[in-house]
Formats: sequence, C-alpha cells, structure tokens
Amino acid sequence: MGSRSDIAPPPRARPERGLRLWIVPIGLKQALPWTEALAAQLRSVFGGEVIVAPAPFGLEASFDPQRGQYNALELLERLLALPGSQRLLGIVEVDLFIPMLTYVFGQAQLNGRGAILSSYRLDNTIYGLARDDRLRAARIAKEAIHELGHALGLVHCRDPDCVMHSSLYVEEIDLKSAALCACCRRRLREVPTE
Amino acid sequence: MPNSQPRILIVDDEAAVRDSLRRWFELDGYAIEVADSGAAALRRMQEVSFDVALIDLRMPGMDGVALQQRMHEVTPDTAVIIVTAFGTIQSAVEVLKHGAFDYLTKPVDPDELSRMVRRALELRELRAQNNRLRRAVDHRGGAVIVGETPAMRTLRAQVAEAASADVPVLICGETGTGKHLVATVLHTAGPRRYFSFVPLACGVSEGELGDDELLGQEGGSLPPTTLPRMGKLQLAEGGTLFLDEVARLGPQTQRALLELLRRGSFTPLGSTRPRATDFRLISASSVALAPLVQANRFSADLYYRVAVLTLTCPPLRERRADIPALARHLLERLSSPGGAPFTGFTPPALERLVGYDWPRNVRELANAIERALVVGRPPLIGAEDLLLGPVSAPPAAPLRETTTTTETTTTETTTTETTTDLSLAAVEQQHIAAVLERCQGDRRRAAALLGIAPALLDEKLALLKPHAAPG
Ligand SMILES: [Zn+2]
Ligand SMILES: [Zn+2]
Repeated sequence: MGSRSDIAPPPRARPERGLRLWIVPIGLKQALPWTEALAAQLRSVFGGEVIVAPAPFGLEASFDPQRGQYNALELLERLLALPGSQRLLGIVEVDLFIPMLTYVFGQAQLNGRGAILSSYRLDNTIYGLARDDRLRAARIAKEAIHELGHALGLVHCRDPDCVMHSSLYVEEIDLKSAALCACCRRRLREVPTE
Repeated sequence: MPNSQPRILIVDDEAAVRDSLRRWFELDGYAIEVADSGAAALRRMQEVSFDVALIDLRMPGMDGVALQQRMHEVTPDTAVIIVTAFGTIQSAVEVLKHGAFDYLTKPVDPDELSRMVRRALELRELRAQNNRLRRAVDHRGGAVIVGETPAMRTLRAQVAEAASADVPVLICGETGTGKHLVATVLHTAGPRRYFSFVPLACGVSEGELGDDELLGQEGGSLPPTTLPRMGKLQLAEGGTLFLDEVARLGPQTQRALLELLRRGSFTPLGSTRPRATDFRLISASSVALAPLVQANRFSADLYYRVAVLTLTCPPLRERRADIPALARHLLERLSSPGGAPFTGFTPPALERLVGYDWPRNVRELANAIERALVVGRPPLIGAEDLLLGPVSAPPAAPLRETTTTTETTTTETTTTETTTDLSLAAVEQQHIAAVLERCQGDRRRAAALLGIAPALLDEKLALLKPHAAPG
C-alpha cells in the first residue's frame, strides 16, 4: 500500500481499503509517459496501489484480418488469465471491436477482475483534427475510470456529468467529467473488495 | 438493482454474438438472458416476460421470422428487434410487417444498438401508460354497478352470471334504480358485446309502439325516393335489444313481438321476405308484470319468454349504506373536467343524503349532486347545496334582485304581487329568464339551478324565445 500516501486524494471512493491495480500496456509503440500519468490519476480517484506492468503477450493473436480490427473480448480473456489477485486494466492503441459491434472504446467484465481500453478512437487525428495530447490524455483517463468502474460493479449512470455516463462518441466523453457522481461513489463503497 | 430493470432476451446461435451482446447490455444495467435457438427462446418466454428481444434472423431450425411470429402469440408486448446480415435486409423488412419493432444490420454501430433498445423500451413504456390510461378511462366512462350492501353484491353476482347465459332477462326495479345501467352491463359483459346495444323505450308516445320502428320498412310500400328504414330489430342484429318499460307495450305489439320470438324471424313492413333474427332480449319494468298478466293486460306467453331470468334492482332507501360511496362515485363522474374541483361532501351533507328517502332513487341522487356541483363552493359539497325532495322554487331573495332588472318585471313593485297576477306559464318564463341571467347565460348551470335537464331547458327556451331571451 506504499504509494497510497503519495497524493492527497480528493474524496476517495473507498478510503478504508485501496485498489490493487495493474495498468497493463499491450503492444504499445512507446509506452510510458502517459501510462504513468494515468496511474497517478487512477490512484487519486480510487486510492490504493496502481502500477504499470507491460503484458507478457502481444496483440497478434487477437487480430481479425477480415475486419482489420482487434477482438476486445479475446484480448480481455488473455489479460484476465494473468495470475494474481490484482485488478487489471489493459491498454492498447489499436482499434477494438466485439462481435456484432463496429467498434468499442473498451470492454470491461462487469463486477470482474478487469477491463481493456483502446486509445485509438480517443485521438483527434483519426477524425482528421489537429493532434491534442492533453485532450487525448483526458479522454483516456475518463475511459479508464469508466471501465474500472464497470469492473468494480458500476453500470451506466444517468447523470450526464458522471464519468459512468455511457459515451459512444468522443464528443460525449468530452462532455462528461472525470469524476464519479455521489450516487456512483456510494454504490462503489458498497462493493466488497477482493 | 431494482426489479424494474428492463429485461432483454438475446437469441442467436453464435456463442460469440450472445456473449458480446450480453456483456454490452449488462453495462447498461439491463437484465440479460440468452438463448441459442428459437425453441429455447420460446420455452423461456413462457416462464418470464421480456421487454425487448434481439433475434438473429438466420438461425438453424426455427429462424428469426418464425420465432417472431410465434413470439407475437406468446408475448405480444415484447418489442422484437431483428438482427440481420447485409444480404438479408429484404427479409428483415418482411419481419417488420409482422410487427417487429425494427431491425439492425450486423455489425452494428454501438450507438445505434443502444439507442434502438432504448427507443424500444420507451415505446413499450408509452404503450403501458396508454393502456393504464385507457383502463382508467374505461372504468370511469363504462358502466359500473356501485354498492357493497348485501343486496348489491347479490345483484352484481347475478348480473355476472346472467351476462354469460345469453338468455332473455327481465330487470325489475323502481324508477331510477339503474335498470338501464344493469342492461348495459349485461350487454357489455356478455358474448354479444361487439355488436349493438339497441334501447327502445316502449310506449313513450302512449299506445302502440310503431311497427315500423321495431320491424323497419322496405320495398313497395315506400315512395321510390325514400330509403328503406332500418327497424330496431335490424339494428340489434347480433347484439342486444333493450325494451325499457316493457309493461307499456300495447296488445298488438305484444302479439307481434311474441310471434317474432316464437319464429326467430320477422318480416319488415312492405316486404314479403321474412328475416331471421338473432339478438338478445333484455327488458325492464318499473311495475310488477305478474299482476298485469293476471289481469290479462300483459300476454302470459310473452311474459315467460321475456323473463327467463329476472333481476331486481333494490331501491336506494333499502341500501342506505351504499349512499356515501355512490354519492362520491357520482360526484366524480358528474364533475366536468375543467370545472371546480370538488373532492367530497361535508359530514352534514352526507347525513342529509343518507337520511333522505330518494323516491326516484339513483337518478334523483345524481340530479341532486349535479345541481350541487353548480351551486356549491369547492372543495366540499355542503348540506345547504343539496336540494332534496320535490323541486320547489329556489329561495326568492337572491332572485328578486335580478328579476327587477328584467323587462317583464320592471313595472312591478314586488315579486309576490307579480306572481299572484301572472299565469303559470308567465311565471315560469319570468323565472327562467331570471335564473339564466343570474348564471350569465350559462344554460348548463341554469338547468341545474332550475332542477331540470339542459335539454328540457332548451325546449322551454325555444317556446319562450320571443319574450325571454335576456341580455
Ligand atoms: Zn460503459
Ligand atoms: Zn454516476
């Protein structure tokens, strides 16, 4: 629990027992600057221990040549097969899909051990807009919190300002805050940890 | 999660599709079940009801089209969304014609999928609301037999039984006890409810019921420009013919009716071809028929055909315990939607209502309440708003102020002097004019104040027109 006191946290979701979370980059070209920043942000929201631990496997097996995308469910399955009792947040830079859907920003196991998140569609450049690293970082943080919220048992929230509000477009991500609403925070506290 | 969580059923033979859709919708907080075949889906649907079903069009065994049709029989309220590949949009459109909510082509845009399910749920909720509303309206507008006294409970049970029996029923009871209402309930609760209910007041204009009214008229006896006239019997075909005050039928009509009931057919006037009849006969009488039969004033044969079952509506004074509930029920029904919001009666008002004898029964009670709604002050109807007993002239004092302003009385000094010299018709005319003015021309209010039906007021006004139009 060493890193818990590093940052003076805003209202913590579960102050009594922190989260043990691994951020797991999978096949990232250049890993670290933003993954570390993300770790700090997740620590401030959920408390506990957050470390960055690159995946021992690559993306190749999850590629669907027909769709030219990566299968999010397959990747999630590999991720969750990693040993340990810590929670896992896989991060990729490639485009993810699930059968039936054209794309997903990420995919979580509701009330489960982890989630996976893609930064691909969170980047302005794929929409033909100017590169904006700060905006991208903000979107990644919101989606990471969102997917972890799912893993911790939260479903989509009606509050449009809450980070658990469902967003299917980047613009919708930009509209919501990075914070959990009071209601979701309360629900999160009711979830037993580990 | 509350129980109100929407329930979604996903039907697909592909495990990966089922799995991804389940995960996707679980994040929205829906309760998800999956089925790998149409047969499995149908089995589950017989146990649990679903708000939305997402069905793959192409499945081995029962395909999406067949499943959708079977489902529609089992749970018509479930919104069906068909999932199809690009090549099969044509068949998806076919499914829409059979009542599916919409279709999706795979792979689906996540946004489109979520929105469509949300829309399906909203539509379902809207429909449910509409149904609730309609039920509420039906309940208010439809015929209800109100009362919890033993006599009324018995009557309700008898009515329920008689409704399905589909045999002639005679309803006895004093004026205003609700015989017509019971007849409507018999009709609407019975197997003939989808056909007409045709009421026929017997002997309103004294003597014989016009044959043409009952039998209709067609063919040669009519001038060529006249359309054939449908008799009540034809109108009642398949439905119910309600003969109100059946005791007033003249001997000739009695014979015709008896003949008709015996043969099951009749011949319209001017025609030679008999028509078969199929209707249910319900009759009502406010006088006992048996003494009339003994006195040979009512055909015994007809009596036995008309009164296969007999129901009796008890007079209101014999079920006083029902009066408060009945009064509240009438208050609700008679209140106009935009009118003053009356919520009930003061205790003294209820006491008056329960203590009174109601010689004209529920009809009189309804009239008293209708009038009180006009003269009373919301939210409660007070004892002073209730005009019970034979309708007497309303208190003179407030009226005098207004009568002095009307032309007819400007020359008079006092009302007493006025009325003593005037004919009854003139007094009526003067009084109507005064009341109308007091109500600022509002005929409904005026009729209520006068204690007569608005239609009767209109009739009187038409007669009095040259003199009485105020303002
Ligand atoms: Zn989500
Ligand atoms: Zn929330």
